[in-house]
Amino acid sequence: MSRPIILEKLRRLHQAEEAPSLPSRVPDFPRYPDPVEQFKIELERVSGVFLDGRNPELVRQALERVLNDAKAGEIYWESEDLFARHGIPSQLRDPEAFRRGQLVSSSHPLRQVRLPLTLNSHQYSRQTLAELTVSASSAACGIAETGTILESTAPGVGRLLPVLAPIHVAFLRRQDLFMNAADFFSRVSLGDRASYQVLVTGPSRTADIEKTLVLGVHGPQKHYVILTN
Amino acid sequence: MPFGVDLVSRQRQLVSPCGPAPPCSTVMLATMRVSLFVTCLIDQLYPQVGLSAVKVLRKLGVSVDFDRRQTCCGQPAFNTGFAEEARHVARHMLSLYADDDQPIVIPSGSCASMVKVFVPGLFPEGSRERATADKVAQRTYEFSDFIVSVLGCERTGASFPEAVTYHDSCHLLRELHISEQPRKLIRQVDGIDFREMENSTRCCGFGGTFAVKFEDVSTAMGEEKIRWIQNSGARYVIGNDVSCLMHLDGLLRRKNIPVKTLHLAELLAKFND
Amino acid sequence: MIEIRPQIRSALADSQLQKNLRLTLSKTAAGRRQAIAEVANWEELRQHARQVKAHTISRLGEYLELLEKNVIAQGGNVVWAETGPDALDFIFQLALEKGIRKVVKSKSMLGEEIRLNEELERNGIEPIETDLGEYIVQLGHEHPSHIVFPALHKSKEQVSALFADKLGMPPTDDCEKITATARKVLRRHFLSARMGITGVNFGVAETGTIVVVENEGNARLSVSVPEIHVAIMGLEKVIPRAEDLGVFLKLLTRNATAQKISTYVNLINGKRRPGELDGPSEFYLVLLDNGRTRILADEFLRQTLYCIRCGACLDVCPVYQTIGGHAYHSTYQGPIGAILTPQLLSAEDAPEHPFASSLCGACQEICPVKIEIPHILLKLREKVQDQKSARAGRLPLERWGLQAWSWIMTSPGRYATTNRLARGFAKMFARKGRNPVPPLSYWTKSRELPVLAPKTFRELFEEEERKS
Repeated sequence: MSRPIILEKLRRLHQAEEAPSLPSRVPDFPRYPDPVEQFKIELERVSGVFLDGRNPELVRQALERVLNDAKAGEIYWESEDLFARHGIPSQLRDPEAFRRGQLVSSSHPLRQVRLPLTLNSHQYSRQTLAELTVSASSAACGIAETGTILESTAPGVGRLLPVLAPIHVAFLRRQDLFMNAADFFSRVSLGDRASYQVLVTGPSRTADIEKTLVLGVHGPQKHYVILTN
Repeated sequence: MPFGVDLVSRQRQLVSPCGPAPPCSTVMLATMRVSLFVTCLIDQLYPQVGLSAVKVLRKLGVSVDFDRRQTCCGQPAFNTGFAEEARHVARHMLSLYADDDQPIVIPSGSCASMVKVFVPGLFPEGSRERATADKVAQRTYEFSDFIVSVLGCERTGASFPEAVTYHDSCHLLRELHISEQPRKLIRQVDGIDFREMENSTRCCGFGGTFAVKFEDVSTAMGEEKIRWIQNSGARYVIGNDVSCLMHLDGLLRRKNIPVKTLHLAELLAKFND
Repeated sequence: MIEIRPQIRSALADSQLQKNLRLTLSKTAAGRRQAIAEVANWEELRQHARQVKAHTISRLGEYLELLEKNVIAQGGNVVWAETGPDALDFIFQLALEKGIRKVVKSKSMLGEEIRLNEELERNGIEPIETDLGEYIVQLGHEHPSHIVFPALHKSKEQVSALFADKLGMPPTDDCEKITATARKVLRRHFLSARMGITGVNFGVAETGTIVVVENEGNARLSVSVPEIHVAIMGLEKVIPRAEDLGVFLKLLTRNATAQKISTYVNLINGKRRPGELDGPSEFYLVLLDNGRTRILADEFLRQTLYCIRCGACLDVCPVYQTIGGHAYHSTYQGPIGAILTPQLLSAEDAPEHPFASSLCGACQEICPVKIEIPHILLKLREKVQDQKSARAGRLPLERWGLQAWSWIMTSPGRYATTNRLARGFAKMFARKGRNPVPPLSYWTKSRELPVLAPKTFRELFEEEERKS
């Protein structure tokens, strides 16, 4: 009913005119000699935590730190693909090995920790998802200019896991880091494969009460990014 | 553009740079004539401002013509939404200046904006009246802009050993983009203690008919402005528009606050002769 | 007709509001200046954004059709709505069909415009505002007072009292505790709602993407948990290409909240794809006109539709700073409200809005798409006056007065005569203090009158000429 009426009104309006042209190029966005350093600075500025994960030992330390901070015993992983993509060693994937202390000293408290490593959200009820503490996902890419990562859905990956848990860990590969937002938007193809993507910059926040900043509203309160090779 | 390029380059050929010591020499500029459009508010309520403007211009070696047929630029009608009525008045104003090419100097940011920015738009593009309006707009200068940008002068030889602050009136600042010129002139007044107030660019609340139609908001905005003026410690607030100054002065006097308003022209005319 | 003077009076008299406004608006002023100063090519970005909008608005039909095509290709539905009731009818039908009794909403000014919450409630559907500011406003049975910070008019003590009353929260002046309460309460709603309604910041035509910008994560949850996602979008929100998003987001966030980028930029391409683990199984994009095509008809005024709702014009407006948002008594407040309201409705319905401004231009200076707000206000003032004259049949007093004034001003002789007469009368009224005669009464309520000089400039000038 409304569609033809609206389109007809618009057609009549545009007939006589010449449209101002669309600018042919986007203005320059900043470039950085050390994009990783820029990413780290910006992430920390918005109260995110940057962790080096360029080898398996560092990844282990990073995860140890996350679990300590969270006082949690479990990390819920988005999918199996994450491990291969980020070079996460098989020992970390094997709960038995982890429990036997193969990665941590025998006196380390983490030895008591259970680490179910291949938890996919569809195996669990909404209730479980609502109650989990730490989630981990693989970022499709990142933007150095603002310390941003891109979370994306895919076959075997949904929208909920990265947003429900109060603590979220995102793995990002160095090679997937864009210099700035203009680069990102000119190169990304929205909607080709994923129904949903979200640019995430730090933990959730609000300033709705007296413009006072409060972290952790509906999305995660703690946001870690582990940069892998 | 607030000033014509030709005029400036011509003047720059004639004038040696005005240094910190002597005020601008009168000898070299003797050839320049301008028309003064004094504005209806100054004519009626603040004639001293008009006389000061004439005094300053003459001191700088400029001859001042005053066409007695002038009345108003039409802004009060335009501001209230009566474009037709504004057009009538603007037409009369334009008729005074259509046949010559002398620079027109206006000691008011809002009236200069009216002539330069809004009057041309009152006439259809391509019409003869529009062409006249455009030409007049090009030759019109706000007072401080004329002195600094056209005459190339920043010092008139005035002396005023008082603490003053400066109010950026809205049209002057945002339509004509004039903010440095008045400051340069103020700073070179002998003995002056110039203090920038915080939020000097915030509207004083006059706004033409707004001052009367929404007098309570207008007053609240003026009171806010006065707080910043007082915070600066200045005893005088300088401005380029008597409309703003009239509004602030009205509030200051009602509240018995010992701060006075002064138009830039009056300040620059304070010669110790 | 919307009258704003009574609201303005009460806003000025509300000392708590005045205190709240002063406190909160000064907080982001410095941050915004800093955020803008950091961007070397800020002016270039503004010009670029304005140009993109100008191009898009003049080809709006084409881009809307392209957007529609791409949304449908992804399995989504597009619904066109000429009026608010058209959009509402669709939403109710859908809710009825699916047995929806509760809806989670992320912030949408368009929703306010069509009174979505009131109408949902009237139809037995519970709308839950999930943005903290909107939630506060909803609990208090109020309307938002700012485009970006809906509860700007409330102090944290007032919010705590509200939460204590409605949610049984122990009173506190700790914003973190208050926020934690909202998180807990709203989490329950998120997990049990079957429909999420969001607004749209940008609709990208070439990719069929709906962009929703936020900081809290409530939009993320609103489009991830429920099985149905309905996005409501004003026609003017479409942009042609994704590559311009970087520019728009930079301008929007730095102006709105002095951030470099919002915490979450949702890039939504419809319902869940095969293989995705979760997400809505149905997606609807509602394209709403509600008077926008009428605004488009005017070549100068149509730039009103370039607005990307950053809210910065409100923050820098000295009038808004003085009276707050509710005084505007309309969906949109501040400078954008003053130009949009008389156009979405009509100049007759909102004749006071264009005049409630001193035309200072601070809004135009900050606007990311360079909307010429003061010039638009002047044009709207013309419309109001012309409509008043047309409606009255005879000349309204104000117009008659200005016509008489312009008659006087077009003749030096009449001007001189009127001067002499005025001076005669002026002596009668030249006293300090309040004057009962309008319009002098409006001036003298708070200000002294200027002193009428004994001689005019021209008289004094002429005297001097004669002497020399």
